[in-house]
Amino acid sequence: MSDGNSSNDDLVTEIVRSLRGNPEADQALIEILAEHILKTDPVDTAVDDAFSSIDNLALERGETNT
Amino acid sequence: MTTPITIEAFEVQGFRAYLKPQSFSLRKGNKPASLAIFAPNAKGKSSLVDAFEYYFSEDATLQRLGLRASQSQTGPVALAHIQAREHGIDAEVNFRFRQGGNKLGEKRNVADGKSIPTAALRVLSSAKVPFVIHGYELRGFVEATAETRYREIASWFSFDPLLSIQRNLRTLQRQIKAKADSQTESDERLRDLKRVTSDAVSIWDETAIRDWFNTHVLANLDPSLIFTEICESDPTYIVLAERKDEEEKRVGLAALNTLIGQIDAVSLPLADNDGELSGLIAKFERSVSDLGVAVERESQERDRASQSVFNDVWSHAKSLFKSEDHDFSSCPVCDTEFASTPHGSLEGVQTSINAKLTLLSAYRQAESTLRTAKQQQSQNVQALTNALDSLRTGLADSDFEAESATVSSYLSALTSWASDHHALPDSGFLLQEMGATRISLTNARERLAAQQGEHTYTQAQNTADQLIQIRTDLNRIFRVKGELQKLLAELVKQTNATEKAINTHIDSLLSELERDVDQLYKKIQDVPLDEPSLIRLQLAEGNAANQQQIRLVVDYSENRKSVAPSGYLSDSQIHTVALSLRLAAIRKFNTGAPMFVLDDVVTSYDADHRKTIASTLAEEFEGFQIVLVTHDEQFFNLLQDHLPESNWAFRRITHIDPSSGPVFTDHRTSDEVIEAKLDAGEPVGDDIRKSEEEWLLKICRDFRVDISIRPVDRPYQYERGELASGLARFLKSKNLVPPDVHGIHHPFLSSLQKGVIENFASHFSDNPNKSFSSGDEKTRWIEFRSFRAMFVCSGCGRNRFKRPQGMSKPVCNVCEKPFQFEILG
Repeated sequence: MSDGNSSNDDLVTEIVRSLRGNPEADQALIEILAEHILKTDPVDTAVDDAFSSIDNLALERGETNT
Repeated sequence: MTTPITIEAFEVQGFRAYLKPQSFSLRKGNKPASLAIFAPNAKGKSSLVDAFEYYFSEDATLQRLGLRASQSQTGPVALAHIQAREHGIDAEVNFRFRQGGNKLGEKRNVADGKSIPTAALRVLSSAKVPFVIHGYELRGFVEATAETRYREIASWFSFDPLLSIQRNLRTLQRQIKAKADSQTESDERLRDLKRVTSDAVSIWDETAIRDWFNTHVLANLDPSLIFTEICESDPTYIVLAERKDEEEKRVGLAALNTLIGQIDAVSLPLADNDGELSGLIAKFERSVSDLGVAVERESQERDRASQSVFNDVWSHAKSLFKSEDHDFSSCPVCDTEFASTPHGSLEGVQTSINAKLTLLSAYRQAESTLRTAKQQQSQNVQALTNALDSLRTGLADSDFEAESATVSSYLSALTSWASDHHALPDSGFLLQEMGATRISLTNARERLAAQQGEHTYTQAQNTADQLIQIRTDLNRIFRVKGELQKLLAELVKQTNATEKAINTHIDSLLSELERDVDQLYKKIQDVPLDEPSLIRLQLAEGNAANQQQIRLVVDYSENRKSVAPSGYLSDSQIHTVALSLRLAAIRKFNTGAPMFVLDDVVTSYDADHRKTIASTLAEEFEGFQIVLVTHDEQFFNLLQDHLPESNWAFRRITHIDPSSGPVFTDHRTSDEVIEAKLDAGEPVGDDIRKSEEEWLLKICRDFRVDISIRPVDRPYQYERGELASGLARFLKSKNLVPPDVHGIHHPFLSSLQKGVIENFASHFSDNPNKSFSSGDEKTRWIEFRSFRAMFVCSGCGRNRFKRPQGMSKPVCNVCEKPFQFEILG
């Protein structure tokens, strides 16, 4: 039987690769998710960190896309 | 892949039903072995299951006992044998493990075994599925909620990180949505709008705001000015800015107020207590006056104190003449009698000294006052100079040239006085002129206020700028919220894609488990393996909240698919579903610790299903160490028939001895143990006797030899001679004559019947120190093995037989060939 943890790592890697491969997807958002959420060993503050990054992304886009 | 960890042996003492130490080997030769234990109820078999559960428990207790340990004497307290302390026996469980070439083991003491042994942790790290299976709790997993089942199966598959991803994505979605829906920031700016428009406008309405500004701000200044849009590019905004600049160039209210304030600072009369409200000229002149007084006072005091200039001398003299240690009649310095001095007496001298010291004190005070007055005057001059300079400039800037010149003149005089202190500047004219100027300025201020009120172009532009800023902020806030909404929609898409991938992965893994469960179920229920699958593990469909559920369903029939097992299956079938699921999971996930414990798992089965369970264990779990306890003797016998002796040990508990604990009998004494002892030169007579008795019992049972039945509590305590005689009668009645054993001259069976062993002094000895002949024992062992080897199937070579009802002669248990002795060559 394959080790559960390595199997999970493989799956998550594949999920990130698949999301990145979608040309219609928001790549900046995917990178935020890949950095903070789509991990088998996320840090305790993963959700807050991702939220902060997404909020900043919205702010940046809101200020530049007038 | 890591080397599997196996159990070598375990020992219990002072634990539950076991008072004296009792050990159980789980090894045969060099291979891991399994153990089956039969006992009637309440004879201590469950205590062995408890030993497993306790040893591997994080809480150092049993699930059914819990953690209670108060006066009820339950919880961990109940683990120790009730007489353990009285007998000075430590209540403990000891396991010894082997992993490859490494051995490890550790005791867990009930008294201080709060922390789980390292060896147990090593096993648990390789055993994701709980490996102690109690028959009474099996149904629980089938009937558990879908959420509970999901959590348990998720732990088997190490789904936790995947669950964490799903959970975090959903939490993130909620947070982003809350931020996107939040009105806090825009509400704050709308409150500013309300404040700026004096509560006239509270929501952003371009028309309403423009109308309010045109009506309430611009119309007060110039009704012809009208904003079409509140923005910096509106032509009116440009006009407003120009007029604001012009306004700043003219004297406005603010400038007038500043100038009036500057005049007041210089020219106000002296206020009560010489306070802050006094004008600086008044304060200056007062300080000049104060300084003059201080100079005069200091001069006078200095003259008066001139005779008392030696302050230290008089101070010391005072203390000298006050001394009570001496009775003075004459001066202690010059020896003049006091009566002859101008003071006439000692008291006169002391009075004179006090007077001189008082004069000196008054002088010091006057000198201090003078110093303070000088400082005050200097500060006032400086403050007045600065104020006059500012006033002169302010007046000049406001086209009060003459008045500015008057100030300059006074300032010049002040500067001159400051340098020589000869001619104090006359402030009369200046104060008179400043009074007139102040009246003029006040009148101008009143005129402007009447003309413009609070509405100035400066204020108007400031209001316009605030409104423009609020609009800019609100636009930015709405754009950011719009971007957040877009990102949220995108996040939902990517969450769905991620969850779909995870669920597909989980579904795939569940399918593997499902196949294994179905296969085991069919074997136990004796259903052909090519029948359609019955059991299914389904990941719940629907929204994300429901997806953390696994439904356990059965396709009962064509028109009853995906139904709950409890609604359609019998009790034993439900039991089989649960057992199959747990065994399949253990086989799949516990490969690093191939072991499990079965605690009375066949209660609800009939004979046929007990047989299929026995065969399933033999066929499907050959590589596992199984510890099986049962109170079902029929099942135990079936196990003995189906499970290979090469890696199974069978032990029976007959009763409990209060002084020691459960008493075991009828266990198989392995050939390997006897031969190892023979090789080591150790006495082995008792072991050979036990081995002979065990074999005799087995063959008598297989052949269904007619022997008398013992009481229930001693069903297998037959005498060896009794069994051998029964076997001899049986063989004779069936015309089965065992061949002679090579090297001896009488039928070996006779020696078994008589219980007499030639030249074998120690054979039945209870005294271990009695002399023995290892050579005789070895010979006896070889003879016994030779005799035993005659009882094999001539067809397949197996050594288990049966004699079904109605059949005269025994047949092979497997190939069913009639038993007969081979003719030895």
